[in-house]
Amino acid sequence: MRRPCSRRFFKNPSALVGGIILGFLVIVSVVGPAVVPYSPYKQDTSIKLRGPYAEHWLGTDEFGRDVLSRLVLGSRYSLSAGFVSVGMGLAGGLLLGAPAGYYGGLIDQMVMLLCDILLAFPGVLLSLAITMALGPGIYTPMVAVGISSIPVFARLVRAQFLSLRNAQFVEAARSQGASDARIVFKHLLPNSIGPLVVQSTLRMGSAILTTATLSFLGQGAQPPEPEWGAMLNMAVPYFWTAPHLVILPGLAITITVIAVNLLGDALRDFADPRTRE
Amino acid sequence: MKKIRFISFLVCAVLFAGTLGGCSPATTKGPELVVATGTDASTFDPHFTTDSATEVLNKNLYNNLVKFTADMQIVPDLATKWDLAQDGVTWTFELRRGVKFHDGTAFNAQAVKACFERLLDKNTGSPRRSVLEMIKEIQPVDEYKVKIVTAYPCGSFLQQLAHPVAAIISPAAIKKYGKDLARNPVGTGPFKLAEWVSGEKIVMDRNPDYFEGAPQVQRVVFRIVPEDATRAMLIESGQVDVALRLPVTELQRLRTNKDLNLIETPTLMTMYVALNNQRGALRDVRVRQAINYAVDKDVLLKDILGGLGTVADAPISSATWGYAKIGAYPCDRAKAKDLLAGAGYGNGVELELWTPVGRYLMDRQVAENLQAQLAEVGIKVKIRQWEFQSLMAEVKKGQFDMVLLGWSPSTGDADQGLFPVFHSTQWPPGSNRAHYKNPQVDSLLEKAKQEVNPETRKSMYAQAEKLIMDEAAWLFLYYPKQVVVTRANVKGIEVLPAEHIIFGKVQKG
Repeated sequence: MRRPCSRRFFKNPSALVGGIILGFLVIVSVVGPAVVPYSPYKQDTSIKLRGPYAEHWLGTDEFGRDVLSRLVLGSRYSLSAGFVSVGMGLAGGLLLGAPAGYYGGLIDQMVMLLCDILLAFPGVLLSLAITMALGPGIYTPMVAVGISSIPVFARLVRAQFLSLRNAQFVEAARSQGASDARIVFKHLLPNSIGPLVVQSTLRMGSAILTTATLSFLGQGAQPPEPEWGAMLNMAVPYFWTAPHLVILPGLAITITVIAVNLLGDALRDFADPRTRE
Repeated sequence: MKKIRFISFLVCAVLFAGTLGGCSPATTKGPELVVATGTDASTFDPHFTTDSATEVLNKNLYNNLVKFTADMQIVPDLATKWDLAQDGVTWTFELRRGVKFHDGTAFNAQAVKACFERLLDKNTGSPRRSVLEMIKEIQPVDEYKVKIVTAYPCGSFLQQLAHPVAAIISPAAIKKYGKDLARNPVGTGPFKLAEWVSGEKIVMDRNPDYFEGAPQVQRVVFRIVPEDATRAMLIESGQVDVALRLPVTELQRLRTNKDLNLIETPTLMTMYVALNNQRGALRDVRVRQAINYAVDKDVLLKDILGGLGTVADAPISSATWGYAKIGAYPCDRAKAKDLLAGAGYGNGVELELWTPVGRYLMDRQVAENLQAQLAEVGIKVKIRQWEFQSLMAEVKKGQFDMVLLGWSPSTGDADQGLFPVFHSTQWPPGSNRAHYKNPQVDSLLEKAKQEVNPETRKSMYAQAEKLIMDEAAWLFLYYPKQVVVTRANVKGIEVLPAEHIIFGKVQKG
């Protein structure tokens, strides 16, 4: 008897660990800011730069703000950065890649040329250029990373559609007089969903990392927003005197990215018929 | 395979060489002084120097006709005596005899003329020409006497002459190098340039013929170390003798180290937030006053700046000539709220604050603390962080609410301290970033500029400073101190409020 899909999936240890951590983070980011004991913005310079102690479990920062409260609120930015930028990349990728793969010809050539140009730039560099153009802000890195992921998704969608557009079931639909839109949405898209989900998850890890990088460089969240990358940036002068300010946000970013990547790896193995038992 | 082995050998060799370079031989031995500085020189041509880091270097290569003391008095340098005629515009300077430039050229009245004429020639294109633009005529009277006529009676003329841009350059070098003076400085100072490796080091050898006596150290090596923490480490471990521009976070740690000396001196700088007097809510004087009342400057100084400064109680710092103690706005948040309510902003107001990052002592932190303090009275501040050069380019366009800046009148005089930042003809792209305009202040500043009686001048400036404070043209913050850290065995460094650091009399025990 076949066990339910989800049961089988979470038998994979990396899926289990990744799933638990990510689930925890989602819960923290949703309810956390409402339950933390201190405001993440409230400054009390008389207790600045303290290490962890009873009242402030993870210590205080350079303005005496509670680090725990800030990390908790920061999880919101990092997770939404992952979802928003991947969502943008996916949407843009579908918009460009679907017609390219389905129709081929000139459209295909144009789209692929555009993708090649965009892919010629290293991801961070391209994102940095886009944030420079947009001006710093909390959504800027998300948009920038989203735009720079478009070519990745566009190529994937195109490849999927290219391989499927002459498949027998598509031929069958076409011979029954189905419109292009119907073929794309009813037949091609559902059959490409697996690789897209895998790619999205894998992409999310790097998206979170890149947004944090951009914030670290001062192009993302502006003070006093507790974005993790921005918190790291702020902590640099205190590397020796208050190392918890460097270690904690760094750890938060690392754990989140690892969790997402574990999940992505597991999904890839799961979706790949060759590795599925 | 062979190729790979060769390449890996090459990589190893390069890495090894790199580590050797990192641990350069103990540089403190021998009669040389090693100084760790954060920024490279931009040019050694005083006529083109605009940054204080380079001015520090130039001050050790060149002399002026007159110079500042530690309490900002004017004393003889290359001129030994001077005299102002009854007409208020004709100055006569007696020059020091027997002084030679580093290239052997004799210093005399002709040299003064050649140097100042180069500065004043519009074709030279000096960005600091305005410092001496009041000079109408320079006439050598004899070998060691020069007469300088100004276009109008100029109350701060001697201070202008002590400005780093008025350094005296060898006339032979001006002819020989022209624009290339930038890399070939020839002055009369205690040291002469021996080597400049851009981004790495600047070496100055002592001038054995220096007119105030040859320096005791053979040479001064300025090592360019941009990383703050690295400079702190170098001075702690004794690899350098002096470290400049260390951040507050490091200073607090170094203060307890018995092997080190911290030289703390006041500066001419006022840190302020320019409130755009012609924009939105900030047009209302009550809002500007509320901002001044809302901020506890003591907290800012104590907790953010580690005590390295004093609260600003006038628009110009107490080290500046013409300073009058007006009194700072006390922190009174109830009053700030009343003022805001009176101005129709009882429900709060939103403003944007621009801040440079890394230009001034703890600038970003100060901005972020101001944001939290102003929030206490219902002023919602959005911070925008900038790299300094792009900030200044944007500020020149004038489209901002508030911007955190420092103003340091390098002539040490109230004219430079007030005129460029408060006279209504100086709106952006000029330096009056607050777009402040008050006809009474305008007229006081104009009159004081041309007044040669020091007492009358002082009282005019006091009136202007009072008006400016009362109208809350800025958010007045503090006067930062400068800190030079030396090893305990280093004595005799002169650290002046004008941010000049002179090594001519240094002794190394």
